[in-house]
Amino acid sequence: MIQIKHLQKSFGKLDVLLDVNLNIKCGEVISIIGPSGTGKSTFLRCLNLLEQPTGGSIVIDGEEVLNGHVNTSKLRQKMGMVFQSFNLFNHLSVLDNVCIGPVKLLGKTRAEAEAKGMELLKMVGMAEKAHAMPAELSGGQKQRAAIARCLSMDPEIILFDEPTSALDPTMVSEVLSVIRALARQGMTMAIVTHEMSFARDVSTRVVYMDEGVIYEEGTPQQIFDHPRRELTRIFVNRIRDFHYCFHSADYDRYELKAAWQNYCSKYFLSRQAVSETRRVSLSLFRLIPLDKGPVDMYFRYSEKTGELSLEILLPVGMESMLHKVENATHMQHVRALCRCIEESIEETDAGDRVRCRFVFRNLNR
Amino acid sequence: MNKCFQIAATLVAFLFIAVMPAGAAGEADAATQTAQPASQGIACFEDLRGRVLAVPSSTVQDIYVEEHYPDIKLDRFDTEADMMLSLQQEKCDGAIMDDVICYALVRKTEGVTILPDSPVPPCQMGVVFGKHNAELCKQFNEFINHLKSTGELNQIMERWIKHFDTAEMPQLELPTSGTPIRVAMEPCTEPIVFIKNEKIAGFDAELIMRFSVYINRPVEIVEMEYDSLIASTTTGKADMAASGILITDERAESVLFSEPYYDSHSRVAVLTKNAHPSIVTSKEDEQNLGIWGSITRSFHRNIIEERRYMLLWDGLKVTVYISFCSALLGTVLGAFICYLRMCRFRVCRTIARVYIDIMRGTPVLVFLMIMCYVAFTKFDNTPVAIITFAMNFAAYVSEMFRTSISSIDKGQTEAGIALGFSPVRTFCYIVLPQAVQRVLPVYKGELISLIKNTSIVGYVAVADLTRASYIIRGRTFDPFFPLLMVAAMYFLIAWLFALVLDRIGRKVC
Repeated sequence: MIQIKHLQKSFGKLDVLLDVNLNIKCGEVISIIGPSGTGKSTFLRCLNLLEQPTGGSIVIDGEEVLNGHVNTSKLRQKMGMVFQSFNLFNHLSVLDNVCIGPVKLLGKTRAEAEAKGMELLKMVGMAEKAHAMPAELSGGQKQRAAIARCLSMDPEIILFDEPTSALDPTMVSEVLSVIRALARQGMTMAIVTHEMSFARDVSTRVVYMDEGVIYEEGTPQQIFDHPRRELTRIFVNRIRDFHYCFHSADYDRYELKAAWQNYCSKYFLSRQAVSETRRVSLSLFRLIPLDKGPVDMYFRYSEKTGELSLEILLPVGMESMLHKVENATHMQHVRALCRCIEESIEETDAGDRVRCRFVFRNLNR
Repeated sequence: MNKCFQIAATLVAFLFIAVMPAGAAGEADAATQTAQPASQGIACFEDLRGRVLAVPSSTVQDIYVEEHYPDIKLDRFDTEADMMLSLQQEKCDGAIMDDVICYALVRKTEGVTILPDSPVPPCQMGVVFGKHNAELCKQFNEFINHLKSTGELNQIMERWIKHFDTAEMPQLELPTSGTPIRVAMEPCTEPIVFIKNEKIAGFDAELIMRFSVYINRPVEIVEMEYDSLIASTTTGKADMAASGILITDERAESVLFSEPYYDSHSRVAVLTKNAHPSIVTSKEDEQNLGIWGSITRSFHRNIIEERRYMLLWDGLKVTVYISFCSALLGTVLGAFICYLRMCRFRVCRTIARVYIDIMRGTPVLVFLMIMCYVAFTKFDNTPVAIITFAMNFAAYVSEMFRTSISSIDKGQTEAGIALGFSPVRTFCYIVLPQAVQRVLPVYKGELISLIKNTSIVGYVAVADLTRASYIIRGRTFDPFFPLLMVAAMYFLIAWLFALVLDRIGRKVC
């Protein structure tokens, strides 16, 4: 239905989309996830030409839309859009919001449009509020009315631009269940969202966008449970990293300590977690000669699972840490605190390195 | 109940304020008195030394007294009627003016006496022509000499000056065909030129009418402010000007004067109670009418007599016409300026900004005079005034339009476009109705302010409502009813316009 190839978009010097490739087939529900500022919304707005892409091609039903010959108004009529800020027409009642498109654009009579409009409002649960003004509605009601307005044009695809981000948590579910119902009816949709569990169970495909490209895509299970790539993993598990690089044995202890304390307070690590992880890392670093080349330390905390882990990257050729930890008697408390200790060789541009991973038992509960 | 009380209280307060000047309450006026009380009474001009004298501004009297009597403090006025009011309110001790006017005024005003002497040398009155109109001037001179030789001129003068309250314009067979002569006049000075029974009258008016018959060309009277009379003959707004204009060397440099037709002496009016008893001639006392009596009399004299309400009615029509046209034109122009101001091209934006800055930075009165006397001298003043007000109004409303349009959330436009509307249709269906809703309250204020601003068209001799009150005051010297009526009428117009606007607003939104 829609083929997007090498789509680019830049605002002045700022390149937002570098090279986006995506095919959307009829009946698909595609969730687009990713960190803020990676161009998810921009991508969506490029699809219905609210933003003019700076390069690439978009082919809709076999017709290239970026060559300037296409009737953009007709195109947009087939592509509904639901905005983060609802954007209901404030001077019109809910019913008029739903009728204005069919009457003025599709040439329907007022009576036809109202009958259809009431049906749609019934579907989104807003029939009772048909004659209310937008200012009298709650956020969730506004968004449901906006969805009805979008449906009034009989679109072939609906683009949702963070439909629940501006909503109170109590109102999120009423909007999501409307979208779910649409998905069940087989509506083609592209949804930019931060609601991960919603994305997981509503979509047929999940697209992770980062760094101006589609970084990884796949079924919800693939993306959420077994992300193949690093950034995806960090994003879906909401992993917060603490990184420090030891260049020599005379590293700045105070700088490290301050950075560490800052990290702990930022992500609300429990006191126990702070003190235990500190004990473990102190013990471990006693085993590592820091003057044999740079050593990287990653402390990772997943907000999703609560999992804490410590990863140490060492130059190859050092004595196996795993072996020491597993055998030395003074490492007993490390063994007791970690539920998983693994060691692997990792290839990097600067040569091979050894990665030691210590996963802590649940300390942050 | 509470509301009723409020209205009643307002009415009572209003009436109280209204009655005070009408009743000519001496106590109230004494508080504002700035002039010195006379110890022995003023007997001659010399006694005015060290006191306040009202003079018509930049006239022979003004210049002469300032030069020869530096110890007399001068208060300058535009009309003799205002000078007389000032004298009655004891803001000055004497008022100096041309004798014809002085006699007429004193006869109408109670408690005023004329001093026997005046130091200002007599002046001659003449009719003014533009330098290019020498031929017409020659014809007029022939006409004046003819009148002088037959003695008719003296008769005319006698009739108007001595018996002006009974004098009538002669029934003349005025020519109707031929190119009309445009004569500039200021019809606010009795008995020279004034409005009587809705018609122009006075000895200058009679001279002009007779001249018209004499040369067999019709006359078209162009009413304007005294200050504009002489200038109008050079700019071509009028062929000649007559309103008791005194011949001075300075004026003769830029225009042609006809042969003098009257020697004007200056006379000084003082309050009888300040005058020395020797110069006061006894006058019949008017009966005391009481407050209600004087109000009714004042109303009758100012509004009913000589069908003066027709003056107000005509003025009202002019004011409504000017307000309506300039509001309509100004709104359209304002929308266009707003479009330029929000245009994507920088040149357009700059043009609009400069236009707005200039319009807002210039007093509308000054701009009006520039338009009438500099830019469009050949056109009728009413349309020029409408264009002027429209241009000024446009500058203000364009900024209102702009702020209200840009106050509409961008998301509204986006939603419209995303639904499939073209940008223009999005603007018409989505943005405009909301912008109109927001702009209406401020727009209404600006409209009312426009209506009130039109009161300055009198300066370019358009006979609007304010001008009508001016003309009536020029005849009756009573400021109370004309001003109050006019204020009430402006209020009504503004209220009606606002009401109509509310109706429109409710329909649009």
